[in-house]
This record gives sequence, C-alpha cells and structure tokens, in this order.
Amino acid sequence: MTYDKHECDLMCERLAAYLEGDLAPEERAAADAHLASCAACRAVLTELRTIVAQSASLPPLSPTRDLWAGIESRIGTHVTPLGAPLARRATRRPWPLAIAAAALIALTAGTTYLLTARSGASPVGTVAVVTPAPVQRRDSADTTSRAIPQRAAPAPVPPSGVAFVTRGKKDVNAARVYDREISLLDSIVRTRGNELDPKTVQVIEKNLSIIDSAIAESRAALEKDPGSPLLNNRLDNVLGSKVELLRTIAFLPSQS
Amino acid sequence: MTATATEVVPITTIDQGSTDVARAASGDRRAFEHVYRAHLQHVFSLCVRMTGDRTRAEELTQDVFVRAWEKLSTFRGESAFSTWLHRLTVNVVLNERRVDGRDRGRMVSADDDDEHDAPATTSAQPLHAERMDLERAIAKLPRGARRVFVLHDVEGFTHEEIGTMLGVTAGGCKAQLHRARLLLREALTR
Repeated sequence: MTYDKHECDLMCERLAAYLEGDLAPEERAAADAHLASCAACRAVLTELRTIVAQSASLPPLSPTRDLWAGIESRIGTHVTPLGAPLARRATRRPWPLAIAAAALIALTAGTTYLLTARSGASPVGTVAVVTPAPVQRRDSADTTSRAIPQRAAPAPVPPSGVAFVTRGKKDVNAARVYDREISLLDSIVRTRGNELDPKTVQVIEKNLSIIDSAIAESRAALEKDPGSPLLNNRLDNVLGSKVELLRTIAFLPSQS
Repeated sequence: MTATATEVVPITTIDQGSTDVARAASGDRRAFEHVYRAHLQHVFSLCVRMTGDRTRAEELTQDVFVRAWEKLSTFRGESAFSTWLHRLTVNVVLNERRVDGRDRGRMVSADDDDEHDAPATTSAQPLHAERMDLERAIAKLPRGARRVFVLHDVEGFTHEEIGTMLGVTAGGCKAQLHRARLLLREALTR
C-alpha cells in the first residue's frame, strides 16, 4: 500500500464521477490504479457503494395511524368540478325553469332526508364525478335534438312482498323513497337533454350506467341474502349516489 | 425511473388493482379506498424520506391521495398507475416545499448546512448498521441533498429526471448526490 496525498486528493475529486461512471477511460484507468494501491480510498469507495446498495433496498414504511378517515372526509365533496363559474351558470338557466327545478329538488331532498333518517338509513356517500365539457354555443342552424338517450325508466318499486319482501320495513321504506325521488329527478333530467352539451351528456350517461349496474348488482345480491345489513346499506348508498348525481345534473349549466 | 428493484406483483393483484383504479375514476370511493390501501406504504415511504418528518409525511400522504382522487379522471393508463401516483407524490412533496418557501434556493446552495444536525447515535456504528440508522441519517440530511439522494438512490430517478423536477442541471444534481452520500458515510461511520 502506498500513500500519495496528491493522488488521494485527486481520487477524492473524481469519486463522484467514478461512482456515476462519468470518467473518461484514461481517467478511470488512473483511478483504478490508485484504488488498487490505496486502501484508504478503496475503503471510502466501498462504504459509499454500500450506502447506495442499502438505499436502493430500503423497506417500505407505514404510518403510525390509518390515514383513510382524513382522506375520505376530504373527498366527500360532491360532483366536481363544474365547467362554468357559478355566477355564469346562474344566468344561463331560464328563471322559471330554474325556480321550478330547485323547488322540486328541494322537496325531494327534504323528503329523502326525513324518511331515510327516520328509517335509519346510513348517510349517503357521493361517488359520482361529472366533468362536463366546456359549454359551447350551438350553431343557430343546428336544431338537432341532443336529448339524453332514453334510458330505461327507473326500476319501479317492487310491490311489497316481491323483491324486498324480507327486507326490514325500514329498509323497504328507504328504498321506496329513493325510487320515488329517482323517478322525479329522472323526469327533470330527461327534459334537460336538449340543454346540455353532448360531451357532458356522454359522461352523465356513463356514470348513470355504472350506478345502475351497481343498483342491479346490489338488488340481485339482496335477493340471495335479504337480511344482510351490509347489502342493505350498500343498496342505500348506491341509490343515494344516483339521487345525488341526478340532482347535480338538474343543476348543470345549459349550453346555450 | 430506472434503478429501483423490480417489484413482483401477482397478476390477480394487478387485475384487481386496475379494476379498482377504473372504478375509483368513475367515482367509487370504496374502490378508491382499495387503491389507497394498495399504495399507501409506497406513497408514505416516499413522503417520509423526502421530508425527513413522519408527521408531515402523514399529512402529505393524505394530500397525495386527495389529489389523486381529484386527478384520477386524467389518468389515461399510458403508464402504470403506480408510476403515475409516484410522480404525483413527488410533485405534491416538491410543490409543498415551494409553497412553504423554506426550501427555496437551497438546491445548489451550501446554506442549508445549519440544518444538518448530527445523527442521534452515541457510539461508533459500523457502516452496515441496521437500516434504521440509514433512515435516520437520511432524515438528517440537508433538504436539498436529501431530496436528490432519495429521488436518485432510493427511488431510482435519473439525474435528468430529477433535474427537470427540481429545476436544476444534471451536474448540479450529481453534485448534491455526492454531497449527500459523503454526509451519510460520515454520519454512519461516526
């Protein structure tokens, strides 16, 4: 082993480039020759390489508490974002229609709250996200109807003794309230088909389709296990989601 | 990212993960909770190591997932969801620093030396000490050096990628990386 301070200083300067493989061939050869004869520099290099290797294989860490509750509370915001400013949207809807729609929605919302609260239904979670396309003015010559495609009418409330025969009375009441409200809102939404941007309609249809599938799945599962609180709760949640989405659609800005 | 070890994930897990991401993008919060639980450790680990502060990392982890929820509709599946989320995490952490302002201008500055406290070791430690010692030493690096070190040596980003993220040159990034490695060596062999 030899010690040459000048050589060691030079190696120290080149260490970073050596580790990164950035040295020119002749520089690397000189560094290798020095490392072969200098135990101190070789030790430093080995230590640095060990740090690099250990850092690349550090195990994952876990928080000391479950963070989901905090996240869930922050993503509970209903359908967002809307494409147009609120003030602008407010001026786009003809006043009589806006007032009538708001009144009807308030009525259905109040009814839902009272009855579902009384029935002990769980709070409704919001799951739908609607990102309407920017509002575009229609060409005056374009009179093509852009109605929302006629979806199947909301599933009628099954007569007592059929689908929900073994659900508790409270659950049946909640489901009926949701169905009734969905029916009312659905009629509003269908009449708005011409007013909305086609891209927005497309997104709405996609979301409604997903929710309708979830409703159908929940009801099918409930038929097999009618007494399951989990399935009853799930059905209430998806029905509530549909109500929230329909309410939001009712308030979306018109495109013209 | 180039240098991280390949993680072997069962195909069923991938399929379920993709389904959860798709459903979450449609607004399904239950599916998003599955996404959260599947990726929590990775996001939290990155936040801890980038900040050196577990409490702040928990807050940032929540910020990351809230942001992911808001931006899920923009995820096109062109990259793996984990890659998308990883980038998002880095952006949230770096943006937090920019907003916070405490880290401004520290990347190529030596002014952050005053923040470099000695690791809480009381006796000489062999270099191959437990990983906890390395974690502690990383946490005590100056912020600029720590960010570059974590992004490069822990997370596997290239100097060019890091330079783009941090707004520095690849050369500046390399200098910070070497500085971080030397500081870690000093701390771990003290």
